[in-house]
Amino acid sequence: MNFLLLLAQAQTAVPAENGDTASELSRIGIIVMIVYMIILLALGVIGWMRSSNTEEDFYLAGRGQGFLVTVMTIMATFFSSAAILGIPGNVYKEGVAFVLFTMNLPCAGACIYLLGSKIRRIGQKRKYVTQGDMISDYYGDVPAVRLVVALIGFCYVLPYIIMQIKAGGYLAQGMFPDAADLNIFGHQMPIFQVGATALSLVTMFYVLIGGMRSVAWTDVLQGVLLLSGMLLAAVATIVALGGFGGYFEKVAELPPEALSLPGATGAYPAWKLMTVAVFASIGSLVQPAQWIRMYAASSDAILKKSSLVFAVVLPSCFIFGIMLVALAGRAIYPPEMVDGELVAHSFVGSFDQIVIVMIKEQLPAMMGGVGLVLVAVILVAVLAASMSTADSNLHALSAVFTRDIYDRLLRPSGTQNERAWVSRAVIVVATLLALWLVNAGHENEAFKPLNMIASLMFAAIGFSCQLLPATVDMLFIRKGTRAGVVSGMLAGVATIFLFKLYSPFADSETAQSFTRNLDLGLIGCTVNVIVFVIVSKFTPALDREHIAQLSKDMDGK
Amino acid sequence: MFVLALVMGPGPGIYLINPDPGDPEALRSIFGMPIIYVWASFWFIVQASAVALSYFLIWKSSPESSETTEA
Repeated sequence: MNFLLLLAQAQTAVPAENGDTASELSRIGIIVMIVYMIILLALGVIGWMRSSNTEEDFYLAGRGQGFLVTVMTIMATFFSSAAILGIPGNVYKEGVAFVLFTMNLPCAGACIYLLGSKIRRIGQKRKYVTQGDMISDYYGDVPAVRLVVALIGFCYVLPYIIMQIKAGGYLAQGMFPDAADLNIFGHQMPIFQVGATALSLVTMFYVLIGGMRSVAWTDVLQGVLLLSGMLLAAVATIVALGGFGGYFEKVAELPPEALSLPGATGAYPAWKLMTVAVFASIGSLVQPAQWIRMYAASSDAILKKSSLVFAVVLPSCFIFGIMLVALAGRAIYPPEMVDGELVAHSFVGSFDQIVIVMIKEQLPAMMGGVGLVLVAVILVAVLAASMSTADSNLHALSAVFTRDIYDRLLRPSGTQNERAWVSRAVIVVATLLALWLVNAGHENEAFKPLNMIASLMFAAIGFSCQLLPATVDMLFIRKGTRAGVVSGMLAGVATIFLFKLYSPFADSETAQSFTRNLDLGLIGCTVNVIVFVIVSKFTPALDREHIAQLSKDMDGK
Repeated sequence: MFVLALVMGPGPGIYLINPDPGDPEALRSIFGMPIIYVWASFWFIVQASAVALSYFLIWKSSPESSETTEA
């Protein structure tokens, strides 16, 4: 899912519009944004009023989540603002080949039930909160297992939190390109900082007070906005082009390289797309925030229903929604070759801005004032997508740190009340640190910590995939050993690091030939599984009685 | 059925219909849309049907138990 990284480059260079429309859009945008933020804060407060002061409630909403909340929070967490920026941006760049990427979604949908039901059953029975609770209970509660699982969790959630805050800054720039700096207590804040700060503080507030309940409720609103924004943008595009006839005529103008695999720049051969469809989808589902959502569902039946709705609704919104906008965008604003490199049309600015440009150009002209409101709503949908990912990962980060590090390794004798304060402190510190990094990085493009984190995001799903062999072993095979699982995960993480982040090797022809043709998560998983199996063969097996008991809990017998 | 959809949709099966960019005679569109888009839509429907069939015919929810054990 390299497109996710486009967020890191999301230079919201929205083309200049004629003055009246732009200022009118800014005014409406402010109103829609303020209404949206107020609703989020209200949901946060209601979540807090409905909560009880227990760890289980803060992290898992009392394990009583119903169908609508479960399916919407899983969907909203699954996609960040990449759903409206990065993914259509890749279709705009590569052409129709990248539409095939959406076929990862039914795969992820099926896994919600196949993996989630067993995870939920044992989590409910044994009061697990994090994935570290389950994996370390299964393989023997030793610090090494918990630490490695927590490390993989951090590698996933940290870059996501930071990059979503950064996206908030760019979105504010895009919505209010002409806004003057704000003067806050004598400090001049450019619109980028205002956007990033508003996104992070509002998110921090409702996560802090309401925990999982507030996060999930706001995810429902954000999910609805995201899905309707994706469909609305497609309808607007087709209507603006004069109906399906006009749309087909426009798409017929696409050049041959945009109509075939491996795409305009050759980035997506079939093997790459197929392995991404399998590994990136499942990797995104075994990340800490989604794992917590499996525990939080109140029954198997809810996960089963969520699985079906996810597999049908989300891909439909892509294939029959936002992808159509990107395809039309490619025909209307074809990318250009500059010095042998494919770049976005000068009017579009950067690839991931194609949907924003399309709706800002088409809707107001077509529908006048109503069109402006719809543009503002779709732009807020992008913000909603960012916030739903940021809040879920912030909440998961707090759970992983408090349960897996503080409670088990630093201070096992701490009280529940103490852990509650630590979890809230983690949320505040993580948000403020992320905000500082984003602002510092915006002021100085060479700021190394932020650039390092941006690189980490390229590999986040690959890291998360390294939990797959352990997950499959626990849920279905049950033959691995403690030494096997730890060494397998470490080998997988090292492989991802080598292939993606350690440039002397990652830039070599050998590494490139692998990453060009296969998903990064698959490469890491292959090494992980080989090491896992070999080490498990030669190390002491787990206690059979212990495994039998856990298996009964997972299988619901 | 699901695995078949994966192999045929985003997998190597796509080369059965993938138009050669250098061939002016290649079939690039069908029903007014790019052939790859139509192919992706078809195999998505197969995938979604496989999940729906599993939902109705194969997946069974286990009976819920209220018994709990501390981790």
